[in-house]
Amino acid sequence: MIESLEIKNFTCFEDIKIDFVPGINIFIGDNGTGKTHILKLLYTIPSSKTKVSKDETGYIDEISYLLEVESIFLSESNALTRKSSSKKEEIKKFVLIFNIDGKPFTVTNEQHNWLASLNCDINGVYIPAKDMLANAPYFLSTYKKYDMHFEKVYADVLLNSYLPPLRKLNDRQKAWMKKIEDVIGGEIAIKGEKFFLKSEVGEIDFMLVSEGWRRLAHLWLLIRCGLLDQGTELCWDEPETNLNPSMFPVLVDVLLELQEMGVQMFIATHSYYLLKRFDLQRKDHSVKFYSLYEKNKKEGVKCDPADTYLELSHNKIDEENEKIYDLTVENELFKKK
Amino acid sequence: MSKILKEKKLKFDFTLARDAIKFDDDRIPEMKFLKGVDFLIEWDHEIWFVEVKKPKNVKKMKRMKTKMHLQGKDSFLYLYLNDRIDKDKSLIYYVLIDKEDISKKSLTFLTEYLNRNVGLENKDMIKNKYIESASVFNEATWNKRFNSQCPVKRIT
Repeated sequence: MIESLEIKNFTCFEDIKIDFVPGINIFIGDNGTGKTHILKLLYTIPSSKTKVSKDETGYIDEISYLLEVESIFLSESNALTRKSSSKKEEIKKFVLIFNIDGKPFTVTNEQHNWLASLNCDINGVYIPAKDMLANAPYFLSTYKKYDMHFEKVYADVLLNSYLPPLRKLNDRQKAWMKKIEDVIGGEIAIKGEKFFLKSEVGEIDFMLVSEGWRRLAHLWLLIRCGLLDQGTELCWDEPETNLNPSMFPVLVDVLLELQEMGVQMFIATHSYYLLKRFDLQRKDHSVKFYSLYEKNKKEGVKCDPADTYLELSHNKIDEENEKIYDLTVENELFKKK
Repeated sequence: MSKILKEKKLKFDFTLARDAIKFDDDRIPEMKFLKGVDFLIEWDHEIWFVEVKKPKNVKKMKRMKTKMHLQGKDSFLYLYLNDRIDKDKSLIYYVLIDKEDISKKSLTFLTEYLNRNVGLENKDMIKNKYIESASVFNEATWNKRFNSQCPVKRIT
């Protein structure tokens, strides 16, 4: 598992360190506070694994890692260095320090540390906020041939989704898939590069399936191919996108069960309902919350961890709830009838 | 002593409780620095602090949000200073807002606000006996939850 991440002079971060739990790590924060950047950084570890040995332990070296960072962020590594750093002498350099299964892995974009390397057996899945499944046809073949302006995560999403089913699914995997099928109304089929929902009324092209259901269908595909398993890291950017809050119980149930099985998760969200669903079940599961906020430009984005939803500081969602409450009091509760 | 307690225009039936007293009237005057809740209700396994609020205008309604935790905390402090904390009973703080048209969403918001101000953001951090939970109701949600235990009626 990824135990911690220290970031210095990278995008909006001046200097932060975040300690993670083995279960579900949930990030909140205003737009522009780097939630997606953290998720992407965490995904760079499994996605930059090369030279897989017989025991499936991957190997990461600094050079291939930096190339992976560039393709995931779609920027040259020097462009990723924080612009308004107060430490002028270090302005050209960013430093990332991961602690993975008790081993540190330090990378910087200036002085290449040729000795920086890591044996790592973490597999990873990244689900971006934008759905890719409906627009899948011909994307991968075009992406492979041309220099398209798409972050690598979008290609990875499709590569993972096209994987065939496991030869043998266990009972828990079958139960999770059934839970999702009950909500979306059937299984998913792949024909060529297209995805279909096999419902009672026939096969429905994913272009015609609601985007919220496609989010759940994506999870179904990842379970079916066994990618979400013990030792996997799942980074999911805004799982609530296009999903009605009434669907959250199924989503949260499946994610909590995956976490119990040993999947470490990193989730960024703006949804009060999703946060509360996790908060209400945190006693029986490994769940931690993190608030990302910017006090001032000089210090960059900071991160406050919290064990509970109520403990979260700089909670913009809560601030908005308060404003809505105050407006309701002003405009509705004492309005003369 | 009657266990039918009145506060503002509401009448609570606490007949099934072991004990039910009007707290701020009867007990707190001896400690003027404390602001007590309206009722102290004793059940077999729980002690309830019950506070009734009837904000009359926008300004008071907004102020209530930031002040409603005080009676609960002070009532706990009163019991603590008088060595009357029963270690075997849970302490629960309930606020009832006498405003029928307040929405469930607003009650949820106020409940979270109250919990934070009472100091219940992370109950695992509290090692000693303290208020265990706090909730905000209106008349309808109170009766939905407690209709068979201790209903509330409007005095006409």
